[in-house]
Amino acid sequence: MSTESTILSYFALLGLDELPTLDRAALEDAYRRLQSRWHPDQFAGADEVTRARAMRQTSLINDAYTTLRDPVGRAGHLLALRGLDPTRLEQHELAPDFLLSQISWREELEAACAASDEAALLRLDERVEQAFHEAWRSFSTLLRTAELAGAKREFHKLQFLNKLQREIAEAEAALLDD
Amino acid sequence: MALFSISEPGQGKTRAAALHKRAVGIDLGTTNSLVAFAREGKARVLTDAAGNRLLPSVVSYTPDAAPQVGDGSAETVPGQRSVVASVKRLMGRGRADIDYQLPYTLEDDPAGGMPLIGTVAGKVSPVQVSAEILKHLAQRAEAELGGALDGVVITVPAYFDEAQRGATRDAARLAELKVLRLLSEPTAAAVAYGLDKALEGVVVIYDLGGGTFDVSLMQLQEGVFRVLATGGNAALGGDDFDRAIAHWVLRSAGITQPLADAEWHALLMQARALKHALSEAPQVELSWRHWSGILTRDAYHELIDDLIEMTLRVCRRVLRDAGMKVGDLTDIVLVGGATRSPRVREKVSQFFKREPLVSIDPDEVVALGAALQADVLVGNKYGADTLLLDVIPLSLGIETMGGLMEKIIARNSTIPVARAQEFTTYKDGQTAMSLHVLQGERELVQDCRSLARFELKGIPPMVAGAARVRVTFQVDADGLLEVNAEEVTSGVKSSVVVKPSFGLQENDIARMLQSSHTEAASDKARRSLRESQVEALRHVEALEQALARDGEALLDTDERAELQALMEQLRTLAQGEDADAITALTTELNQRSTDFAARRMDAGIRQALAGRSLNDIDQ
Repeated sequence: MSTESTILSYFALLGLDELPTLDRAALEDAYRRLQSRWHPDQFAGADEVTRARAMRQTSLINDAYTTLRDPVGRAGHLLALRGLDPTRLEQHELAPDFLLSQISWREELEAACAASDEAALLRLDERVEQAFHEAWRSFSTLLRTAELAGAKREFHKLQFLNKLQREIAEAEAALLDD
Repeated sequence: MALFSISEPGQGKTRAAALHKRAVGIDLGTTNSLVAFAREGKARVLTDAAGNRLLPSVVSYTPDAAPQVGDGSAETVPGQRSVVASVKRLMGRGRADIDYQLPYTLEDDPAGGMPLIGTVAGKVSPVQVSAEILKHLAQRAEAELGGALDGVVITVPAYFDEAQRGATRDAARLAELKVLRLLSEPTAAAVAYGLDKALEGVVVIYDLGGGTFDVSLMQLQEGVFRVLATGGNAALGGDDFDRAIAHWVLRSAGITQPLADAEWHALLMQARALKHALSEAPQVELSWRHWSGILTRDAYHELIDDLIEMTLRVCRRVLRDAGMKVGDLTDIVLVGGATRSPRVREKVSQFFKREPLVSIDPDEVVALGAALQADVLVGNKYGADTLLLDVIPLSLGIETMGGLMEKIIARNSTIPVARAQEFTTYKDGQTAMSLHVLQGERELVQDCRSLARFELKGIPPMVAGAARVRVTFQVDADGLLEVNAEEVTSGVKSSVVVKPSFGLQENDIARMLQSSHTEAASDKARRSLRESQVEALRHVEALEQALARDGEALLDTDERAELQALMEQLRTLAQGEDADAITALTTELNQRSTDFAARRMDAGIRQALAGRSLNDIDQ
């Protein structure tokens, strides 16, 4: 038997406004307040049912915090709250020109790694960062105007750019370690 | 209570002592273990009758007598005595993880768990050996505190994974101790220094023991203390300094032949003495066989600087993982005997640009912090509490098609944490699905640690891809994992709970306890009653929530009334003692509510937290 049904709003859980822009201080504050209230350590002497409930609550709070803190996670959650499935990527949701940029960025990353070229990595990082900001702006606008299909397309761009940024950071770290 | 009201001045203390719950902190170490006790924010190490503070983590077995704990000088005598040391390295590990020499023989457990240690008293598991050490420490504490313990906090290294934490918890259960919390060692060290009482800060815990190095970065903000990142080297410690000196002696003396074990051991002992002497003196004289010479402090530093540099490289990586800079740090805490070395202190303070905290004995700091936390958790509250949040050190996931690991919970996630992900069948009419629970960061299954395998049976036959198997990972505040799988589209409930294969199975623990206990049978019955009560209330609670949400929309008045009556009945029954009846009614409630569950699914209601698999991509 499934116990959950409609999607639970993490914004509501943490008492935050349901917006793409995050009030980071309010998030941290709500997180600490709820953790202090529900953490299983506060129920160390209680019965198992109470402890199990505390564990489920805290898990939920942790998940909410992690999801909202991350811009891409937050964007996905905003889509999910509007009835879209952010985990499902349809073919038509990828713009052909974006696919081409993806390929060329990846090639640049590989070339920079092969040549141990730190400067090239930093340049790539800046451009990807720029692209992320652009995608984020259009995502926010499309979400506000309720153009959900468009917002979802931008969301998948964000996902890709985010992953690429992480790979660039890892490549930089690897260069510094040598 | 009337008796207390006439207490004389000065007796108030006794009364407080009587009401104070007895909880202790235990540092279950590789080489030595300690137990400490705290009251009102002051902690002290508990000693044995002879005044010893450290208990060597050594258990010796003889054919007829009970195991002896703590004799560091005990040696194995074939056929008469088996000495087991450093068992912490085996906790929650498989045979394949142990790629170093051990002074005892390991045998595979036919049940596929941890390797067993062959002793003259028969085979013992690492969990049993650890339980002996825990029992010994508990007895020491009970003798000094004058009564049974109400609970313990046991420390584990921050890098300890699910299986290792599970094994530690099992050892405590075998020793019949109530574990209030498994606390990570760096957190305990920070607590001992009272850093959790500060307003905010970023703290590095640098822990260089005899054979291992660990570093953790922690952040404190408004009463929440969180491990941000950890790193380490399991094969680097103060013993390597001794070896570096010993090798230098051999080189200087021109000895190229390998030494016999006993002679090498003697040389290491001499090296250790030199190491300690060099903390004070600028140079020391030494002789070995025909050779004699002088080791200056500078020359010694040259020998060990590379080793220290290795630890600092790990520190650099941990800072980077957490996105912090040296300038962000507010405190450096030193833990472990090897941090007594002035050279280590010098290098560490150079690297972090800050003087480290050293006022508490680095061998005792972890146990003292654990004691402080035990006192708080058992309910002896004083002052403001700090919440100590831990993370899981390695990602957890499941094997998918093509031998790939699909991460469900990412490493460094704050615990407790729960995540669910849906999988589907890949063959028409498939009625069972086998699930393989994994741990690690690598993509291929073969590079990850296998934690458990189990099967989900009874999936109704459907076309490929139609079944929705929802796998839920739940990690509790101690870092222990429970995995549930259920097929949701049909509403047929079919779920499994797995325990890590390197821990002990529930019945193993029951069996081991039984051998030492006559009332084990009734314990078991009580446990099963307790479990059925918990299970029953869990179902009632879940159904209640579901009804509150969708009951009006999906059920008519009669259907709702029927379920509500059943829930009421089960709630009443769960107060009683009849485990079988409770289980039977729980099952019935489940069956009667499957139709409701199916309707909820059919109505196209999405599961809560749909954003979650997304996070897996993003982390």
